[in-house]
Amino acid sequence: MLRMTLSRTAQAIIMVWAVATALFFLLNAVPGGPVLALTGEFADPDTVARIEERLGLNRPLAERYLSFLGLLASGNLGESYTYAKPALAVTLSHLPATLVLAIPSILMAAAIGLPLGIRAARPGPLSGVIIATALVLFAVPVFWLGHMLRLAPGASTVFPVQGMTDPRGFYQGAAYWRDVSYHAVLPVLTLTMHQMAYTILITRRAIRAQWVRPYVRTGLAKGASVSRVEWRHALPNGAAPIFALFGNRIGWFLSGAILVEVVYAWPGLGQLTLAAIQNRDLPLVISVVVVGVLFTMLGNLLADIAQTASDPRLRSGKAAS
Amino acid sequence: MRAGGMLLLSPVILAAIVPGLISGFDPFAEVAAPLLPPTEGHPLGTDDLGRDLLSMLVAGARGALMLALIAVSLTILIGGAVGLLAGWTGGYIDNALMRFAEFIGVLPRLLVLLLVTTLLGPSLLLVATTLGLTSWPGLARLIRAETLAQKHREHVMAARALGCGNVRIMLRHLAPAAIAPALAVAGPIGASAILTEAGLSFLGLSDPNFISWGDLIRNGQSFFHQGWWLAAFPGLLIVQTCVAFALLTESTTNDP
Amino acid sequence: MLNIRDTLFVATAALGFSAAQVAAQTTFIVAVPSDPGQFNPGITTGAHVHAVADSIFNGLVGLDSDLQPVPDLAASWSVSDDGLTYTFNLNQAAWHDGKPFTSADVKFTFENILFKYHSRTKAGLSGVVSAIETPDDRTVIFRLSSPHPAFLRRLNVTEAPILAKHIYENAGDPAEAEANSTPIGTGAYKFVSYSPGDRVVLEENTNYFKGDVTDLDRVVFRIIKDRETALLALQRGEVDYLPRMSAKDISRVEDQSTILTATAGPGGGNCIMTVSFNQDRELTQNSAFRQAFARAVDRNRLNDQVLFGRGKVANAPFSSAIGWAHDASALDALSYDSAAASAILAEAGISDATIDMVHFPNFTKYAELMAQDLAKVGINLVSRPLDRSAAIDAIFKQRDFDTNLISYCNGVDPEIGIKRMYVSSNIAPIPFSNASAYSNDKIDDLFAAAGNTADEAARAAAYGEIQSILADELPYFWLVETVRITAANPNFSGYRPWSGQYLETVRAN
Repeated sequence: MLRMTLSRTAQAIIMVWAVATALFFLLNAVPGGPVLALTGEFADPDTVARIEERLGLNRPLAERYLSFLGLLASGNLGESYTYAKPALAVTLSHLPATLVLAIPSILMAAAIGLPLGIRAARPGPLSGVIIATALVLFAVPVFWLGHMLRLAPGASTVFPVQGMTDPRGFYQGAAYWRDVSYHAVLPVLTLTMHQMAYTILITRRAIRAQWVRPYVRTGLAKGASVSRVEWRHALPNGAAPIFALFGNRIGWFLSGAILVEVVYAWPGLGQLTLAAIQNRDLPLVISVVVVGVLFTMLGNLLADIAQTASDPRLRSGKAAS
Repeated sequence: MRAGGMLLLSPVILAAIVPGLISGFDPFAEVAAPLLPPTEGHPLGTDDLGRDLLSMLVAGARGALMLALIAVSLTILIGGAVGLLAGWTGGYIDNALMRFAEFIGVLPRLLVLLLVTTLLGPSLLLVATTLGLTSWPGLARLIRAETLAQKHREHVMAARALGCGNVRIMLRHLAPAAIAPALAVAGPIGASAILTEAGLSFLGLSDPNFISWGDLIRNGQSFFHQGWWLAAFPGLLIVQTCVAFALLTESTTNDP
Repeated sequence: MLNIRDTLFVATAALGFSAAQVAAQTTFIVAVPSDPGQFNPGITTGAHVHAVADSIFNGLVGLDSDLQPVPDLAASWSVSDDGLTYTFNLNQAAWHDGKPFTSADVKFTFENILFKYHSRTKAGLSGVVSAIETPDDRTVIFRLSSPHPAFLRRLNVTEAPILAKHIYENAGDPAEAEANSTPIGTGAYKFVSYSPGDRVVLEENTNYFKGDVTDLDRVVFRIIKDRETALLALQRGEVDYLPRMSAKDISRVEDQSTILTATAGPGGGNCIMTVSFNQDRELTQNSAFRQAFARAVDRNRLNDQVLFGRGKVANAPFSSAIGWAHDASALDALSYDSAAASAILAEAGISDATIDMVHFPNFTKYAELMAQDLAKVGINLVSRPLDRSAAIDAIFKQRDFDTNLISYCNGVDPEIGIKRMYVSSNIAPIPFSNASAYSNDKIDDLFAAAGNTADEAARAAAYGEIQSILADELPYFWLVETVRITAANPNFSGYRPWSGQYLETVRAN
């Protein structure tokens, strides 16, 4: 266990270094520095030079990279140009808003998508309906889905079309969270439908792959009910791709939810990322991507653990890795 | 399911190959009054600059399929090569390749695309290439596993004993086994390429020298109250194409 | 229409929430498209900062709806006959932290902040103002080295916001000062809180030196990037003020909102969509080609289909909003005529030309329309949308373009926003400078002469000559004058959309 923890940690460190390095050089190679976003128009060479000096952009690239590595080693990603605050702190301050959308969407997608996916693995017309719905939801661009949802007759008069809280409210405590959940209804619904489509399709495929295995037939022959076979046998055995999907999607929710955040003007990581890229706020871009990568790795790790815990072969320790 | 997929996809393919067959207008030119609802002559109406929407959708088919084709081919090419090489050689090379695959795999793809298109300017080719260059790790893992399984089968062992070179063995004996997983990912990757490009278009990052369905939706959304058809038809077309891609895949993996 | 409180009530009832607390105070919500990041308007000309910060601060003078100077921090002023000495009598104002505002603040702000960090004021005034004197707390004297007719118009809150000396004096580099995130101003609204990426909250300054001028208790700036979302929010009553919207959407909101139009606003005004022709490239260097380009583009269609008739086809290189300097017939000879354009191209022996056009992504529609028109005369226009930073780099630093499309804001005087486009000294890697790299000694001399006299008639004559030379040589082509369309909550009035202090005097009806 200790060994695994150590190797995972080492892997994470190398990954963060690699991602940060790649971004550092990419961002410094491309045209259009951060100066413009900071001064507006008419910036004369003097002004530009002064800002470049203040941000350290006038030093040789190699020297800047070394000091960047120094910062990275101390867990610091530098100061955001736009906000003049530590980039990591700015990033983390936007994380809760994104989690407010991500966590309920993932949980609801699992709660609805898993049973539907398992059901859709059986033959019959109901499965066809489930699959068709999932396919269409999968194929609808998520920003379009979000926009259409709030134009839908009921939704448009009941739920807010943007924002995380009511600026007129100034709520505290429980009232604040009620306000947030009321604002979150439409964006969470959008993300849930999107994630649910993936869940149904992957689950169905995983379960169907188990249906042809002999043990399923044995189970049925012994008189076990279909749903018991599905849930007790097929699901644990076919769970790997399902866990992998959810692990993978954690990273997606942190970056891919950008579109939904933009549609609903939701003050989360996605909007921050867009602004950081447009403003060429290098430390902030790197910080957002590093956090995204760490969450993806965490998601993958959780998926591995969950899989180990649920897989009867792995659990009993008999299987070779 | 495969038949359904083909049925849905065939008009799109047809439009991409022979656009003139379906619609005769220059998709960039002003050919009628702006914002005409669907009428005779312009069965899907015209947009805010007086362009024929059907002609624009038809022209967009080529861009969409090209995008999907490039992304999928690159994915299969890189994923296949990396998977085969890693599985066959093992050891340090295997380890290094798989670490690299992991590195690419954890990159947030939409962020990478946003960065690349914002920094270098929106270009369809750039988006397609970036998608291809970042989508292969999953496939590489699958093919590596497949290769490992095949490695000790009789026909491979025999080829080895007969003195066949590594490259020959990989191409002649191992690659065929990799075809099934490659086809399985082709559909989802093609669909996600089209959907991702649509997302970038929504953020204003589409290549204006190509017609993109996603960009038509974005423009159409802002004219939703003047002309619902402008967002509805390109939206339906994206759904149709992506469902078709998904159906083609479902059929190759599951139906016995 | 349901307003937000009704909706909230319906929703809370529907969801079984406890009764929503209804704020007794008037909270007014403005949708802004991008995050300000910081609130020091003295170190940037960026509209994203000024759209919020200008409400917290004041300038020495304000501008009325005709863009004429009116008192702000200065209660009155006098100008010496030679136009070289401006004496301002200051109002008795206080900073939001209670400290008194004095002439020392004005002197400090100009010398230590604006002349160093505010790029527009630095470029325009730092060479003109030779001394700033403060004979007493309530008097400031500006001594100029040469007459500067635009001087008063450059002292509003957008061009020259006055900051507190006691805050910035010992704060080190003003660009990094702590105080930029908790601004202390003299303005009608005080800073309360800022949630990056979400909102900025201001409250009424009950100690405002102009008295009780507003009925708003709180102003919240909500950051809403997507235009469609902002519009829906306005329709739903979630937002009270939408500073910029497309003319095509007016019909959606006009029966529930007050529609205001202005040619200026925080960050600049009197803007003309302008095509620059790169004078270093063979094709765009050719004046016949530029003539043909101009005759081939149907600018009326641009106004109709992009601006939905709310703008104005440019009839001169100078904005019509600067009436005294504007020559309304300057571009008469360049009417839309495809056949004439084809003839010019044929005569010049140009066929099948392909040129690119660099522009910001939100100008794609202009490029698309021009491409349609130019295709008719055999010119292939390739659109190159680049985001703001990348476009400025390509145009002004790399000079990698055949043509580009920029919204050049003329400002309230030709000295501020027009001269920069044409004088040869401004061919430099400076954003929004002389993009064409146009160089003409005669033009340089005329601008110098016009900027050096306070005599408006003499200036107008020089500007008239400049415009006829420009129309002849066409280093640029002027498409349409744009307007800002603002939608505001009709339950209030007194909006001043042309000014940075657009909410200073809002009253409930």
